Amino acid sequence: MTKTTRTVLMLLLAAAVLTLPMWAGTYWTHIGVLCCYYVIVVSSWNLLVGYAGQMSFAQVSFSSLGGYVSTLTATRLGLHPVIGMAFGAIVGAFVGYLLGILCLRMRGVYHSLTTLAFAEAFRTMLNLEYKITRGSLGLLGVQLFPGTSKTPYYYVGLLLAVLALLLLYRIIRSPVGFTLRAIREDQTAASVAGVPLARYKLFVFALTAGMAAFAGGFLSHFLGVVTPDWATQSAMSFILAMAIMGGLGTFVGPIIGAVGVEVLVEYLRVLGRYYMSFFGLIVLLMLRFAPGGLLALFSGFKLPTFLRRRASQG
Amino acid sequence: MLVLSDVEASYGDLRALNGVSLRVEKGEIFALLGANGAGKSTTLRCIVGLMKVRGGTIEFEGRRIENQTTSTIVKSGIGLVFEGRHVFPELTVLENLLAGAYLVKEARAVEQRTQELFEQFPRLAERKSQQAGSLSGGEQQMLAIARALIAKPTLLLMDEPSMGLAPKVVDEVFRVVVDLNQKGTTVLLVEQNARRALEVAHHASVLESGQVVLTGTPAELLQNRAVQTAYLGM
Amino acid sequence: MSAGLSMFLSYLVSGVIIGNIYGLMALGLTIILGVMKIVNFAHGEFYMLGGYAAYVSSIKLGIDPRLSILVAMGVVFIIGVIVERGLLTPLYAGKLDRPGDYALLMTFALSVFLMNVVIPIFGPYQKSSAPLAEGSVNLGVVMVGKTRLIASLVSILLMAILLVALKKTRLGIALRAIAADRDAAAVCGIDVNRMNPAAFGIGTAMAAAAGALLAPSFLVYPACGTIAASKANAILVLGGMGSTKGAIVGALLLGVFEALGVLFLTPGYRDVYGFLVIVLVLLIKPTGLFGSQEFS
Repeated sequence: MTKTTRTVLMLLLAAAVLTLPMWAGTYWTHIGVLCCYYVIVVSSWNLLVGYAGQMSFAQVSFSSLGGYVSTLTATRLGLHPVIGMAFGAIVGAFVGYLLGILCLRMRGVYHSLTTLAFAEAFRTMLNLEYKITRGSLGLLGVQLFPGTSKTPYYYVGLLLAVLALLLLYRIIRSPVGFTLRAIREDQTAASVAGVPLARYKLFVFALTAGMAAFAGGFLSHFLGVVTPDWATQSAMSFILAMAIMGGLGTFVGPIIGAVGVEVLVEYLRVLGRYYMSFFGLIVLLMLRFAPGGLLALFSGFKLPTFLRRRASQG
Repeated sequence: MLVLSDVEASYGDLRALNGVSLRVEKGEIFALLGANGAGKSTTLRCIVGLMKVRGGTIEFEGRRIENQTTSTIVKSGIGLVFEGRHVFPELTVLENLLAGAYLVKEARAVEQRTQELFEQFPRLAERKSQQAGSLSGGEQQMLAIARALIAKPTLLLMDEPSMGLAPKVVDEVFRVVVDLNQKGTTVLLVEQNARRALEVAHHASVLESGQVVLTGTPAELLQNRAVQTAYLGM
Repeated sequence: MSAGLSMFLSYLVSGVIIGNIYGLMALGLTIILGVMKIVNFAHGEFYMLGGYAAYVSSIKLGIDPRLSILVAMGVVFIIGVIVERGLLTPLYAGKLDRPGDYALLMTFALSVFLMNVVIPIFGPYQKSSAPLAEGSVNLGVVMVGKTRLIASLVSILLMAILLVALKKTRLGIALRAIAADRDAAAVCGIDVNRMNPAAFGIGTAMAAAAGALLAPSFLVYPACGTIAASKANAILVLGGMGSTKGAIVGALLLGVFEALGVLFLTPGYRDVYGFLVIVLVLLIKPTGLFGSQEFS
């Protein structure tokens, strides 16, 4: 592919994304908004896991936390949803920071076990604290925009996603991002080299949790509802599938994965009650046969992904 | 009995063996000398299939064994005593021996072999229900040797058997090595303690940065200036 | 006896009776961890499959409920071996950069898959398998159903059989040798990679036994393994990863913690105490209470 064709294709893609509500109809605009949400949640998880190597199964806990906090701020305190989203992000970042402190003490398996246990405990809490969360019924919220048009949500979502990606890109390309990868590859070496490991890890935990919470807040004001289903392991498996499909530990991969999986899932829905098991099967096969992501499989490039197969072995 | 030809191996992108060639004759003690990181342990790991051989061949009693599974190689009659002993610390002495006898399927034979080894190593018999991790360094070394011997290997690879042991215990270890060699077991001995190794060996090679730089009888090696300065401190 | 104390005792006794069944499950987790060096995040789903297998066997096929427990173990053993062969072999092929993370993501994805795959087969609603016995027994502080009591005793029996087998049989010694030192075990002639399916099969069969034993008391539904798994994980952390004795002591301790939690905190959060236990234990002692890494 020459440079010109690539530029032309990129421009066409950008134009298509920017004009989506004009040609795709309400249904696909709705999907477009969901894609924006997923891009933020998956890409921030990717920074935590793919770049910093801190395995976590709690990402959806933070997005649902953001949804609940934002919705409660808007409904109980009568504040504007935007303030709710900001507040949700702050609470999310704070809780992420706390979970980070817990995880700092733990290595490897203990670490991931703690995030999983946290996620389960949090979901149980959402179900049990009926007076605040209305349990499994979920919480009805406030729409961000009046009227039924999805178009304004789409553009706001797109803007948020782009801003989030810019932020993540800046971090990954900065010395901080370089250090994070060093931590991922070798904790002890990075620690010996004088890197304040703890501060870096806590920063990533708090930042990625805050971003997920912000996205969750936005989603809750788009859908007008937030339920404990957001925080289930099945919901987490979507995040995982998106990141894996695109290639965990690459910048572009999870973005493509988020959109790809969301669209795929829409088509899978025709399978009715079989769709989640079919989806689960796809994830398993992907992990088994293309752990470095489908992108790496088809592009033929050796991307420096998280779960890449080794070129050489010892 | 054992022939290595141009064996190559690497850890990731790091080359560890650059074409190692060795020839161990039946019934002898062959010493493999060299500095830390020269590739001695890696050579042994390649022989028993714990590490992938990326080039060259390994022949044992006329059959190619490179890159076969460790259990196949062990089954063909090769035993290994690891550097640092590697006994199973949570298992008792007896259980360590039973694990070593994994390939001996008949219970009677296992029983008999265990008895023989307990006679040969009475200290182990005294401690047979103790956890191996609670033994002294010397006892652990004896256990590691006994665990390798229970499967009756025809070729025994020994990686730094004297490391970290008191001089008296080192004497004992070398006595055991000579003794089992006289009973017919071929021994490939990797040692930092070059002087002691050359005392008991019939042939020896010196390994440097993943290559054999010198091979000969102990007498020839002892006269070599380079060996004298580098390994004998003369 | 004060009301508080008697409530505590009744929760304690029933907690310990049920707790050792989770201990059985944790023992399975321990064997998988010891031999394969991975935590099986889908362990709860093998528990769930065990529950469904007992349900099909005892209700649909009319097989004796006690025999159904063995049926469940056998079925799940086979599923476990297939899963290990199909999905987990890349762990040992030396071709992955971070096998540990691969194992976590894979078993997590497997748990979601299994949870969803049973929905079209059995539906989302709760099932119960046939009781092991009718009636209850008065234990002084609390009335316990005979089914639970028998389940608890069977669980203790299974744990005892497993521990003796690990101690006395050729396979058991081989598994313990691998857990202690993989390379040294290989040099003993043990085909270490062919032991993985055995370990995974046995470990998941233990989870299935727990699921089958609790299926008459607690209901079986697609997500029922989640709570069981969180308890087994807590027991694993309490007992120190990979110690078989720790798994049993951990199960008893969790029973005590839960009873205390019910008494001093709120009963609704009973199933979340596992998380509190994990956090507290690891904050105080990051290697678990019985800090052994091998299993013995």
